Amino acid sequence: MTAHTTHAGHAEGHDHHGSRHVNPRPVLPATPQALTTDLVDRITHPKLGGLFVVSGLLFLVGIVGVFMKVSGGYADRSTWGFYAAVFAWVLSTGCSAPILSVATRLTKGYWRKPLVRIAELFGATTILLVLLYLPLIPVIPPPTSHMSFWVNGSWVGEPQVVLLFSVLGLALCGIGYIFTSVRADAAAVGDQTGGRKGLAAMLASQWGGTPHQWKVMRQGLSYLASFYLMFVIFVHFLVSVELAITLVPGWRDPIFPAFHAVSGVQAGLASLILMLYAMRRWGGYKDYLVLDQFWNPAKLLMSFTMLWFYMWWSAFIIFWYGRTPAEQGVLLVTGFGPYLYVFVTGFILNFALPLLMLIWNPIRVSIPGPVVAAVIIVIGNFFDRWRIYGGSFGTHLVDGQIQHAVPVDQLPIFRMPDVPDLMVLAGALGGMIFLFMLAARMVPVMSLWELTEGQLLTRTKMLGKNQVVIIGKPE
Amino acid sequence: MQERKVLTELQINDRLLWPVLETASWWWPAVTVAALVLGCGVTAVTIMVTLGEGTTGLNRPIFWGFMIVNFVFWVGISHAGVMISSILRLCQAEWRRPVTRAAEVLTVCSLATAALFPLIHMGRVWRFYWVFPYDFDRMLWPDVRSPLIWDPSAIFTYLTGATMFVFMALLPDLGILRDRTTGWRRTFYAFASLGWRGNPRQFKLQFILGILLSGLILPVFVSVHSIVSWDFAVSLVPAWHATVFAPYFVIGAVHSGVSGVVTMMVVLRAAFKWQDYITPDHFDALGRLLVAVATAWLYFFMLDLLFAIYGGETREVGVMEQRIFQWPWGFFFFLIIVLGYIIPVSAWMFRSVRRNIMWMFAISIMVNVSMWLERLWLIIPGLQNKERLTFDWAVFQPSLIEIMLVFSSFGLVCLGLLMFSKFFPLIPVWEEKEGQLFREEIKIGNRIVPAIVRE
Repeated sequence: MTAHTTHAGHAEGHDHHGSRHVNPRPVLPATPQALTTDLVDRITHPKLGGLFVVSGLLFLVGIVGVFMKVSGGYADRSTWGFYAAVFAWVLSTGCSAPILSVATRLTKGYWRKPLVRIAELFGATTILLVLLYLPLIPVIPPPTSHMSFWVNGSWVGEPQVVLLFSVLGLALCGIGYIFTSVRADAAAVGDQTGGRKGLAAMLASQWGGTPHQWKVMRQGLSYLASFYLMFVIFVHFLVSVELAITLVPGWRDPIFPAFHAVSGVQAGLASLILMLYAMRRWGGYKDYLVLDQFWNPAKLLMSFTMLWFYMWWSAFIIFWYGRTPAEQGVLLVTGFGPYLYVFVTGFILNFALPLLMLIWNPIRVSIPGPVVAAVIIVIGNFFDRWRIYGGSFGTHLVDGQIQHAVPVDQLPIFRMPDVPDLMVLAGALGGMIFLFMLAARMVPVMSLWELTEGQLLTRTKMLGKNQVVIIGKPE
Repeated sequence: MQERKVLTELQINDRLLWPVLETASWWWPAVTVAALVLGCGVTAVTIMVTLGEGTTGLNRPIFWGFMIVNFVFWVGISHAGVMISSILRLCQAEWRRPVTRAAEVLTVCSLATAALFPLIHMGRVWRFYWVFPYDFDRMLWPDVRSPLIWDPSAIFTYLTGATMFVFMALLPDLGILRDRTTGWRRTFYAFASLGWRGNPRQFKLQFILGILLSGLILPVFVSVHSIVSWDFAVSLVPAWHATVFAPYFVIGAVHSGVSGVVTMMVVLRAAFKWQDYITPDHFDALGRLLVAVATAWLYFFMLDLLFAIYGGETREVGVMEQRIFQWPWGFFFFLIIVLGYIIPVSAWMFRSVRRNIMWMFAISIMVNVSMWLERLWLIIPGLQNKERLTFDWAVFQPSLIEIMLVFSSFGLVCLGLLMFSKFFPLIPVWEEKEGQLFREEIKIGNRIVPAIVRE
């Protein structure tokens, strides 16, 4: 701890001058042993207890909201549009956040080490996704009543069962990813603490740190990272197709699942940045989460913000030029009709405002800048989901009759959310934070073994008049 | 990057500048062959312009054939440079250094080649200027809502940007060449190097320019192939009118472009004996990059396919049925999937294959055969669709003229690269030197681990 305090003092000394003067790289305890002691100490004395309690209460409010929704019945599908938007928002902001861990692990980004675990812990939010999906099952229409990928509705329970298994698979993969990543750390925690030895021993599952175990763990992480990525994309595909596209007659839009996934990853990145900030500001990780951990995700956030527009525009221009009745109907349902204001708000918050902010160096190369942009994007993503699912669920389908376009005189009406809807939204937000915090109380928020490894592989030296960092690349 | 040979600045100069300062024994024969191949194309164009477009296999309703396929293919290849150079520069990927210049030059050569094809396709080549807003007196303006007008704007913007990119990265090397040549060459390099002295301020400005151009060219890079895709997608031709075309074309372009770079790197390594510079590590890194790119391409490919069937519209399903089940399109479909994804990605999963130069060479060619066929498969069946009115039925059979044009386009690109290699180094000398400076080793326990310097 002594070594750590010395370094920490140095890092914090700069902070009050503004973010640009924050150390660009983490100032860690001097030795791997000190680093381990410091992080184990943090897990035994967790902070953010207030946030944990408040988010838990919100989660409870959400559960009550879900029961109120279910008791309201399924007769009118349009009343479930807002709920579906919340479901898709959780898929985006919560379940897509581990993608940064996955991507940087596969590309071996050196700045990832202090933030990968936080990204991975978002995998716990997949549990919330499963819980939110269950009440939606009865509201998904059978494939016989509309255009569908399912051939003649000959399977049992499609698409509901397929969606359920996909969401369950994603949850399994997300939790497996966390479990595999924390084994080594759990063993370290178990070695150093008495009270948590039971849980730590369970998570460590006989981890001895042998070369074979390390090799298996690294390979396992690579495979799980790839699987998680594929699962997230697949679930985005299914959700966007089954809960949006197929509910709007004539909506033939192959880019939409990709748009859904890209905007999901954008929102996931944004929520990760927010959690990084919470951990830095209130969680006691000021020395670990520094400029590098905000600036690099901010670059990605800007790229995904531009991709958001690119994907949206690619679809829009085709519909605009095609102008078939089906395409005009789709444009009206998904943004230019009753949900115009929701769409415009989403457009500004997802694209225009974040891009204008992040394109500006002083904002991007700072800590508050990306955080503000992230807040805007997380809100914007909800509006984007609302205009999509609100419009889709509000579209009238005639049972047994496959339509090929939404008649312009039968557009869905705009539905304001009712009290249960708002309770579900609050509960979803609380639930994501609660599940994250719960996971964070069981395992270290920083990946001990990766930070230690990074420490071993990093040196500094003078090159000319500048101090540079030397990063070892063993593979 | 495990394989690293420490080279002195003198060695780097000697090895990388020799193709410019001396002439390799194979250079003139290679130029002759490329010129002859190009000559076939010139002959074909001459015949076509003299006798008319009836000499091609184009007919009604198949107005777009091999020339447009080839145009799309070469625009695709041109995406190599920006992908390798700009994106990897922004990501600070160290392994990019020996690959960047050749990739950028490939971009310029292939884009210039691509730009020729719509002109040749017009038949009356001399009227190309009709796409520009020139005719004020007659108030006949080109229709700015047409993607056929967006195309030249996008391509010429990209060509200008890519040329600037090459030139910007060439400046330090031009300075080196100026100091090592005499006569007219020295005058030329002195003029072209814009007074380069290699002082810290010049390097700083060049660095800033590199970053700025890298950032600015990215949207252009994406927009070029998107606009090419909208040539097709904004029309109501069945199976063309798909929202996914823009990213699908872009990712396909990156797939073929990066594979094209692999092919070229193998040739350069063998021809100029650059084994110390282009190592199996580079092929390994490119192979890993290609796994991700190919998988993204397959994702968009499958989306396009699924949604064409999903709508259940007779015309869409008809085209897809033709593409998948009818000869020869079904066979092409099989080749596209097998050569473009299944074989390459299965092979690239193995490190030993990624590091085997000959395997990488063979697979990269395989990918580009698949990508060329994919463009053909996307374009022709949509027009060849047998609709209700039987008088409108036709099939496309390419004529010898078109085959010669496709063949000659490879000659043109090769000739461009060969000419460039005679005047400028195809591996950036200054970047190699900088790379040497950034290479380090650190000792952990008993092991020496390769390391890189980060500012």
